[in-house]
Amino acid sequence: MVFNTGAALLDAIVLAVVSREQQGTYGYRITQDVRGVIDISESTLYPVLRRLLKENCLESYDLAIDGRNRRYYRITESGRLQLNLYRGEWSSYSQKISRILEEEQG
Amino acid sequence: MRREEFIRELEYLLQDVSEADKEDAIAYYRDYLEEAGDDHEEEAIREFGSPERVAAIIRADLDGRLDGGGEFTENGYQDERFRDPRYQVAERHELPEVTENNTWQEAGEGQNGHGSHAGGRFKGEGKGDGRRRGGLLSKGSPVSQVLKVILIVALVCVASPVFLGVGGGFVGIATGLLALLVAVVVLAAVGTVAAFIGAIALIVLGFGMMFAYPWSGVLLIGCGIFAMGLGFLGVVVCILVYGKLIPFCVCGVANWLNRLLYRRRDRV
Repeated sequence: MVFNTGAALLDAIVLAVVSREQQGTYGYRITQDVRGVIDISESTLYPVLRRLLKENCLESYDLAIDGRNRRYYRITESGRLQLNLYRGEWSSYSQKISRILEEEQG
Repeated sequence: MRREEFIRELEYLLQDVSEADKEDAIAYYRDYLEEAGDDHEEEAIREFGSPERVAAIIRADLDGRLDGGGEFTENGYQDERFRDPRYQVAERHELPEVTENNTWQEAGEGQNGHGSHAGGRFKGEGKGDGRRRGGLLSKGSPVSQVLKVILIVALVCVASPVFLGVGGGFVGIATGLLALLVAVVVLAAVGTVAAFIGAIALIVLGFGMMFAYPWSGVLLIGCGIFAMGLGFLGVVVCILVYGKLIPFCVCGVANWLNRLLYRRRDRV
């Protein structure tokens, strides 16, 4: 990818990915889902998830599956608020960028 | 590198991190690799780079070095984390070079293909830094061997008063026990001999006195016979001491030394 994704945008993408699952989702799947959109390394998300947990945007719980515990992440209320903020910011930002880039092209 | 090996390495590298943080991180990566399944496990581990790299990321995060995000520099706004399109987190800080298969380099080359000058520069910086720190981190490096020796010497110096105190105490006790043993051995022999000499002397004297003072003579002869009895008792004690106690002690000491040496050898 040519364009870099900043910390805030990565947070927004992770929050959006997690918020899609009502029951929550787990580390590997989050990583794969995010990788479906932007190119990140497999080791990138642990610090990000940890930070989002610390900031109360996400909460985690353990669920026993196939005889072992799997850690699930679920979005919290304040996470949802944060995500909405990101959505608003992104929509105005991306519109402006699209406008200028497409103008030049046309 | 297999999953268990990776996790073991990671655990080793995070020894100095607080228990809760370590557990948390290990659990995450163990989970992750388990979810990846047999098909993707290999691939995921390859992309992690190396346990050293993952450990460095975890530690950088714990130190708060990833919290602040970017900063303004003379080149404009920069964020260490996201300089490279693949989000190679915190690589500039302390990441050791990826030893296994140089994913690192591939990433750098991919970047150059895109014509990004930042990628090329970054690659050089990262590698130099990584190599230096990698040397310090890896287990078998000469630096850490030397460091170990220095630490041991320092420990001996610092702890020597304690060693001297405790060791002195032990030496004292051992010497005391040894002296007691020697005293018993010597006393048994000397006492027995003395009892026999005394008994013979008393009996001879008693017979001599029989003519002048019969009762005193009888008393002396009685005492002599008593002393003779003590002498025989001494002989029994001597047999016990020389026949049983000394072999027992010698065997005990020999066994103890043997065990000590054996364990040493075993440990080496």
